[in-house]
Amino acid sequence: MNKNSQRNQITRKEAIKRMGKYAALTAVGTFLILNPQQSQAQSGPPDPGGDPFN
Amino acid sequence: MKPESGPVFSKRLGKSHILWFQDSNSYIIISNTVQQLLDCFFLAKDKSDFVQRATEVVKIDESLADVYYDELNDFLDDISLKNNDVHTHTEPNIIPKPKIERHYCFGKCSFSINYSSERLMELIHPNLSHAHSNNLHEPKAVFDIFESDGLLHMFKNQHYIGSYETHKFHFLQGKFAMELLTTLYGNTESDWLATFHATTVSNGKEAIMLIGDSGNGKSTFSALLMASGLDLLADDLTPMLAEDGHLYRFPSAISIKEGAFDSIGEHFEGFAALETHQSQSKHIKVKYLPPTISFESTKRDFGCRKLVLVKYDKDTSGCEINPCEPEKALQILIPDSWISPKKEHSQTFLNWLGNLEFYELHYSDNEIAVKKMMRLFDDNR
Repeated sequence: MNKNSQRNQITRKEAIKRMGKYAALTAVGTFLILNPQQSQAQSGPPDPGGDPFN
Repeated sequence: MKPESGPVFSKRLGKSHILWFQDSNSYIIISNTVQQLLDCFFLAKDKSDFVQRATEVVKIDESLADVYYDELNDFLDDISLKNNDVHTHTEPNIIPKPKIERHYCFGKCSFSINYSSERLMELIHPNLSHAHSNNLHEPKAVFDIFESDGLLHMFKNQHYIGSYETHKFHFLQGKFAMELLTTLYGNTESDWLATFHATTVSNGKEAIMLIGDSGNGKSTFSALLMASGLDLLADDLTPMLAEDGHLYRFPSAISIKEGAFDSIGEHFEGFAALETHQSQSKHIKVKYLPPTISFESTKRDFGCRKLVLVKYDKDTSGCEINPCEPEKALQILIPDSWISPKKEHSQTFLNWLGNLEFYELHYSDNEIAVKKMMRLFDDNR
């Protein structure tokens, strides 16, 4: 193995960490965090140009 | 470790588990393996104990167990953070004299709304115009909805309800819907377990809840189900009462987009004569189709054991209704709904989920899809 390829190698642990938050847990199978709305709302939020008051 | 940050409730849901965390009112759906890792985490004295337990239970190497430990640790820290994202505004000192007064009547329940402008009235009135009445006898509530200092304000019977930034008018609409519910049913907000972003139909015996991503024809489909004789219990917003876990009637009109005017008009006499409005949230024309069954004349609540994830896809050939994984439906239902953060309500919600059958309907042909839905009512496992 030459010096260059050694430098490019990372450990499995490091690779998972680089994939983002909870990457290892997500890779195991289902891992979903679902937060309900904190207050009642009708339908989806309006589109960006959809404020009828401005 | 960290027992105080653990889930308050958990429930097996198909091949997965659903957990509820009180501090953040979050629902977590995890695979069996993650559940095993979480069990190891709470049983372990420290990190090295966790690594030992995890490598035995889940058959993984030590370096990976090390990563799982760090992630579970971070996750439990994050999930125990309280959500304090609700902005509060100062209550206005005075309620201005209303420019427009409208009276409404659902059976014996009458109420009136004072609007400060036409455009504010457009946010609420079209959904209720079928209940518009010229007379008002012993109103159960008087609402004042007005705009000042760049905010929309709502009062009910002179009591301050809340203020909303103009671009967040859908929160005013949602809060008004909740206040309307408490007026119609003579109870308080704390009696309600949830207001789901879902449509619900009933055959007079049971209810089926329909969910789907926005803009995929859910409202059009629910109007067609109503045309076929089903009782449209609620469109867009389905309330669940905590006491019995039943879904309750919410007598708002269905908003039908311009593209569906012809197909819906065929089924409802007088549809063409309904007033056409400009949608507040999207730049399209809509008509508001009232429910065919009146609020006062029928049973108002039903138990619900079936939930259908609806997806209109013009490229789909035929029409399929199949069981689906709960998490597929719940990742649409939960983030789109208000669910009470109360501990006892969460337990009722999880128990309801545990008894719920989950389906997925893919269709391109409305007529066949309606027939399949009808059959689903009779299909009791």
